[in-house]
Order: sequence, then C-alpha cells, then structure tokens
Amino acid sequence: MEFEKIPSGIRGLDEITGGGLPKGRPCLVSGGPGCGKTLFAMEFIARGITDYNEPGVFVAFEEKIPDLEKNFASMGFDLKKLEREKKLIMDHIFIDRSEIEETGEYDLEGLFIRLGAMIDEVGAKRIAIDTLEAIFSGFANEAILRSELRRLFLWLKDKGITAVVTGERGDRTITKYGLEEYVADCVITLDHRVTNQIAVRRLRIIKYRGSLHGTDEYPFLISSDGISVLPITSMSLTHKASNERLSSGIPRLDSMLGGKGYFRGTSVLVSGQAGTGKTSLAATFIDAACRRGETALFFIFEESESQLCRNMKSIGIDLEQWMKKGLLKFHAVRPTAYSLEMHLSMMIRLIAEFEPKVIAIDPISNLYPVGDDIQVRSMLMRLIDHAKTLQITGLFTNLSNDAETTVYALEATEMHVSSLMDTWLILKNVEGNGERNRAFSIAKSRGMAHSNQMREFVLSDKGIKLIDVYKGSGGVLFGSARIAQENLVSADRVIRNEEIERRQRDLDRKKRIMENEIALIKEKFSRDEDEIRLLIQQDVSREEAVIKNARGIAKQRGEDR
Amino acid sequence: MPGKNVRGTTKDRSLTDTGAGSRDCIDLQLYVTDETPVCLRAYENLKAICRDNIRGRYRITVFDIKKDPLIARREDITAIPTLIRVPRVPGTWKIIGALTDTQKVLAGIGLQGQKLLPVLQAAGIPVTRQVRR
Repeated sequence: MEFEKIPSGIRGLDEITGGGLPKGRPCLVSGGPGCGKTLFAMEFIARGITDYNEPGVFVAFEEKIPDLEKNFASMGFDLKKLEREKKLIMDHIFIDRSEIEETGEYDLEGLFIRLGAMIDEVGAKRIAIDTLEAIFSGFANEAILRSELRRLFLWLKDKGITAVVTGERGDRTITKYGLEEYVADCVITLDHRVTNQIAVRRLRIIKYRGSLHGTDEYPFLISSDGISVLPITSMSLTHKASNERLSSGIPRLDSMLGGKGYFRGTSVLVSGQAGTGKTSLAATFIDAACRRGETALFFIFEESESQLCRNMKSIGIDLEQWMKKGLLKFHAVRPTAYSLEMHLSMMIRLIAEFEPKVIAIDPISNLYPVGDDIQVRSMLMRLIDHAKTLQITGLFTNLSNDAETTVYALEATEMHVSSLMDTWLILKNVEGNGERNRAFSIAKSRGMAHSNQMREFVLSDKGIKLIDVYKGSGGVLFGSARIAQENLVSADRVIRNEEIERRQRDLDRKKRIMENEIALIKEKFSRDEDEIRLLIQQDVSREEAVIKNARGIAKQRGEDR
Repeated sequence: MPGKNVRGTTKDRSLTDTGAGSRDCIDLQLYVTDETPVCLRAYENLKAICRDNIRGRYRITVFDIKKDPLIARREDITAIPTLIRVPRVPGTWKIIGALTDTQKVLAGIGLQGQKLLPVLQAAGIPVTRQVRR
C-alpha cells in the first residue's frame, strides 16, 4: 500500500523517499541543535508555495518572526513577500513556564484555534511546527499534553494537511519527549557530526510507513541556498557507451591507444610517483580538448591556478588562452577545507553550471586525508558515475606511494581506485646510470587494443614526448644510457654503411675493368675483321677477274667457230 | 452562562457591586471556548474566589476565543481556560486550568502574601483589603 506523496521541496530528498512526503500526514524531523530542522521545515513550506503553489503555515515556538524573515532572506527566501501575497502565514507562539501556573484541568484548545485560524486564512495545505516539544517545557501536566498531542495529529490528518513537525533529539529516544509515538507515518533524523575535524551532515529515514525507502544515511549539505541531499547519482550502471574517440594531446600516445585515443565518456587514471609528470599529462589532455573547442573543467587540489598555468608554460602549453576564451575553468581548493560530500556537491554543481565535455582532477590522492579509503572510493565512484551519465570524459591523477622504485614493480592504488577507471596510465621514475628518467606505460585500457610497450616519457619545451626505449641484449635503457646506446648503434650503422659502399665501389671498378677489356678485345677483333674482309674481298675480286678474263678469252675463241 | 459575553468583545459585564471602571479595580480576563464543563467550572471558581477575596474590587471579562481567534493570538493564549490579570504587573502570571486552587489563583493575580504587597504598591496598584486565607 503506497500513500500518496507530495514533493517535499527539499532538494534531493524526493529521490530517496520515492516521491516526497506522505500527503495529509505528519512527518517528524528530529535532530540535535544546529542540525537544520528549522531550515528543513521552512524549505518545506516556502518551496511548497513557490514551486507547488500550496499555501502554508509556519508556527515557530523558539524563534521570533522577524528573525526568521531575516535569516531566510539571506538564503533567498522572501518570506515577507509570501506573507503579503497571503500564501504564507507565520506565527510565533510564546510559552514561558515561569509565566504560567497550572491549577486544575485544561486543554490546548487555544493552540488548535490559532492553528485553525491561520490555516483557514491562507487555505494552507502545508504546516510546519518548530518545535512542538516547546509545549513540554511550557506546561507541566504531561498526561494532558500527550493526549492533546494525539488529538493534534488526528486533527491535522482530518484537515488533510501535510505537516512537518520538528523535535529535539533525545538521548535514547528519537526525540526528547517521544513525539515519535504520535507521528507514526514518517520519521526523519538529521545528524551533524565532526569526523577528522570536518563537519559532516547526514540524514536518515527511520520510518516511512507504506513506502519503500532507502534506510541508509544520506549525506546532505547546507549551503547558501538551503539543504541539498546529495544526489543519488545513478548507481545502476545503465549509462550508454560512446564509440567516439578523443585525442590525448600526444600523438604518440594516441597511437598507443589503439590508434585513436581515449573513448569519450570514460575515466582515465594517471598514476605515478612524485614528479613524474602527471599534472602535465592532465594539462595536455585539457589543452587538446580546448583546442577542439570543447569546454573543460580542471579541479586542482594542490596548486593554485596561476601556478599551474605558469608551470605548464614551461612545456609549451598555454592554458590561459582557453580561460580567456571561456572554454576552460579552474577550481582550486585545499581538500582539507571541506568534507568529501561538500567537494562532491561543489563539483557536481560546477559541472551542471559549466557543462564541460572533459574534466580533470589533480590529484585525487589528496582526498585521502579528508576521509577514509571507503569514503573516498565511494565519492569517486559517484563522481565518475555522474560524469559517465553525462558523457563527460574524466582524467584523474593519483600520487602513488609504493616504495618500489624499479620499473617492473606493480602499481597498487589505494582501495583499488584503478578498478573504477577505464584507462590506466602509469608513470614511473627510473633511476640508473647516475640519473633519473621517467617510464610510461599503459596498464589497461578497456575496449581497445593498446600498446604494451614501455616508452620513455620526456617533458620538453614543446610538450610531452614519448620516445622508444632501447631494447637489446643489454636490457631496457632510458635517458642518457639510451642516447649513448643509440649513438653506438648509429655509429655501427655508419661503419657498416661505409663498408657496403666500399664493396659496391669495388664491384663497380671490377665491372669497369671487365668492360674495358671487352672493349679492347672487341676493337682488336674488329680490326682483324676488317683486314680479313679486305683479303676476302681481294680474293673475291681476283676470282671475278679471272672468271671475267676466262670468259673474255673464251668468247674471243668462240667467235670464230 | 449568566454574565458571560456573547460576542467575545471587550464589552464589560461587571459583576461587582461597586461601579465599573473605578480606578482601583482589578481587571481579570478569562479566556474560554464555548461552554465546556471545564470552562464553566473555571468561571464559577473565579467568581467565588473574587467574591471571597476582593469583593468590590474586581471586574471579570470573559472572552470566547472560538468566536474571535485573533484575541488568542494577541494575548498568546495556548491553553484553555486561561486567566490573566490586566494590565500585566510584575509578580503575576497566567493561570491555566479550572482554577481549583484558590491560593494559586490569588498568587497568580498578585493578591497573595505579604511579599507581593510592596511590589504591587510600588507598581501603584491600590490594595485596600487584606486577603483572607
């Protein structure tokens, strides 16, 4: 059986309760001092008017009306205006025990009549009472009070009004005076504790009769415009996967990543030891995105905006130009300044306002002092989920603290943050030969064939370069050792080339000699040939002459026969 | 109820035998709703207390907040019945309930005990009769 629900007016709460608060029934909000009960009650009423056109009544036992008006004006609620428009009516009910003497039987009909008059005056559909327990400190006869309370809630139900009633948290009971006995339908507690020197607010639905609800604690924030229960980013893993590819900003890296770069809407982790160039990789990625005309958000937890820009200039990346064009926005903040929920909420809000296509966070490891491993992982999971739902590509840098310094050590990120990421790039320091170099490799990249080769990662003033390492019988060489080896290899090559050329010349020479000899022989032969032909010709002529003579003689002899 | 305002206005219904509106009169306001048994009892008790202790020096006005809810708001009435002395003086307070305890009522309207006398005199309230216990 599901009750009908009305929107609560509290950002994010309706998602947890599956629609809002139960219609026409009371809801108890309990919490310690400063937890936000009054704010909750007021937002319920004020938004009920402004967003849902349901007039409301606010009954305050502890604060005076002008104070309420002033306090809420600073949060963007113009209560005076709502009162003028007759949509809101507020009353301060003052009960002072020292002012009251009880003798004999009484009831709280005065309260009922006042509430009734207010409800009728504006046609209220919502009422907030803050805090109902004030009557317990005002009047002594608990039996009467309790029976009147019961009557009050029945009366409210009869009128069909949805009520939010606040109560001070008790030691062992939900509220100090046990109001929860009378409010059977919906009970919410607000909590405000300090963990690791950071204030954290949590909301929990203890009871919500007739409705499925999350029973977990949900973090919420109170910011300049009220309460936000943190968005339950879709934890259902139903986001779509894109086939589009983005350049990382380094052509060689793109070709290592299946030839095209990162998938759009994925998460990329760049982990590495100190000073390996993670921020530079992130900046290159952002720069490439801005170059394509895409908007980008850069969250920095370690440096200031101007420091990062200055540093990136040294590798030839000018981020300021994108800021001027409005394509890039920085958000630099010390992680210990806020709770994790506050960070997450700020990030989500900035993302909603700026609508970036890519985001970068540098470094996420700085969040660890703010919460424990599980909390940080949970926060990152929510952020990544949120980004993926919006098809935003995210690059996260992480300072790894493994003590191993050899190139082949396995990377271990805290709480396996790497499993949240689709692509994992690893940067390592390589010490050897009296110098430090950086090695780069791709640990994983889901959905594409990627290179498994280690490259040398060099920061030059023209940007990041990925250079082939030397692999040979001497092992893998980086840095100057590689250069030395390359020089050796090229020297070798030069020698060999010269050798080849020499042989080639030899061959050519021999060929020429042979050709010369042939020419000589041919020449001799042709001379001989000429001579012999001449002789032959002479013989042939002589022969002809003889024959001619013989014929001549024969002819002479024959003529006179 | 005899002597009770019907409209809930501040129309006087004097029950004393001295003239209404005299300067040294103690003005008592009783806030009730309808004619519930408790309210009736409170009224009767109050009359008796006044007759016994401040004969001739009091004026009771009864207000029905159901008929005029704004009065309840003005005087901050939450419990019914409520008895207030006007104008409010130091040493007096609201008395709620059926007014069964005479001492409490008298204390509440500032008429009990020697200690209160100087307070009242300082405030300029004439009390010409000692309260009979």
